[in-house]
Amino acid sequence: MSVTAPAPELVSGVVSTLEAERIARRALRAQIGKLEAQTALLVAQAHPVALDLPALPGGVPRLQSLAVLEARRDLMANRLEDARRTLTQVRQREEEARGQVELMLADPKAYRWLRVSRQDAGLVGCGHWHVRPRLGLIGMLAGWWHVKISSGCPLPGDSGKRRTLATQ
Amino acid sequence: MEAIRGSVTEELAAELPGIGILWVAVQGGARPDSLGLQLELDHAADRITGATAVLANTEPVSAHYRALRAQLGMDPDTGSGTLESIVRRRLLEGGFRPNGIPGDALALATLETGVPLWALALEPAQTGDPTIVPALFLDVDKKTGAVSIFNGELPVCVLFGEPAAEAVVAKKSESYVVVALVAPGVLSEVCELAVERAAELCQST
Repeated sequence: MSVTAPAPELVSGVVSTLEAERIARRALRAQIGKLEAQTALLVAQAHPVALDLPALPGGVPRLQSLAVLEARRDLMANRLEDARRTLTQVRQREEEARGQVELMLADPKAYRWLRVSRQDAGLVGCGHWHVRPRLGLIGMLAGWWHVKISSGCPLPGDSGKRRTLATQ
Repeated sequence: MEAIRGSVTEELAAELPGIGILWVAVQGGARPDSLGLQLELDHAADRITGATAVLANTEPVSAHYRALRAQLGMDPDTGSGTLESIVRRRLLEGGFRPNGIPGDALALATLETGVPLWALALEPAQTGDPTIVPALFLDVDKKTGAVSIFNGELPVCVLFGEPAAEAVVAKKSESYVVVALVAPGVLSEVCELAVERAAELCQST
């Protein structure tokens, strides 16, 4: 029985298919790398808002097949899209809260007892804007309302002093 | 003290162009931190805040390693020896508790450069002959499919993982190597700097 060598065009066909798959895998890896960079950047830009991103499936580092890379690329793209949507919603709510503060400051009487925190407005630190009556009950009866801005975060020195006193 | 370039198998180089490893040999075994290293770690810890942890993910060198982990099917937030894992450790511990050399030397060099590093004890038993310089290379472990650092026939450390039991640096180790992974897109000069800095810290007294 004689063994005939495969036709040269067939060999080159197989090689080119393998090469084409490798090129496709490289392209997918580049896309995955780009998606990862965009996700990390979005998380950094969102700070101090914590985006609750679902963890990617993990395991030992392996050379992934074309199908697995494709699935991963799609998963990461969807995750990034969801994160962008969530962040847009959060930013909208913050914008609304800031608008609310403007309205409260312009006409406190119309927004009695309303309270907006700095966190709601997307600002760092503690504190809130609170529409309260001047002089307590008198202001309430007289209709004297104003926006009270809280004094912010407790001073670190103060809490340190309290801790020291408590331990003594 | 000059970094030596390890080889990469053809298969891996074709799939991940630019990947590589660099290593430097260090004499001695595991030991407590030197005073200088402790002070440097304390200063480094003081500079790390919650915002640093968030920004660590976007730091240019670190971002290439995150991308590589994602490309290799890992969760980019996981992995041992990475900049993010060290920053996370600082936040959880409220500082850097002394971990000894080489662990702390590697952590400091990674904080300074963003390059993940590993210390691997390659005793004569593994090289077969004390005069033979270890020949490290990157390959895919045929048994597990994991991309690993090999010394001769033996996989000694899975990428972004812990060293194999026989490659953990112990007090009695006579020598070990500090290995840096070169991720595609990261300048090898940065990795050389990282591995040489770590080796220098390992030998500090």
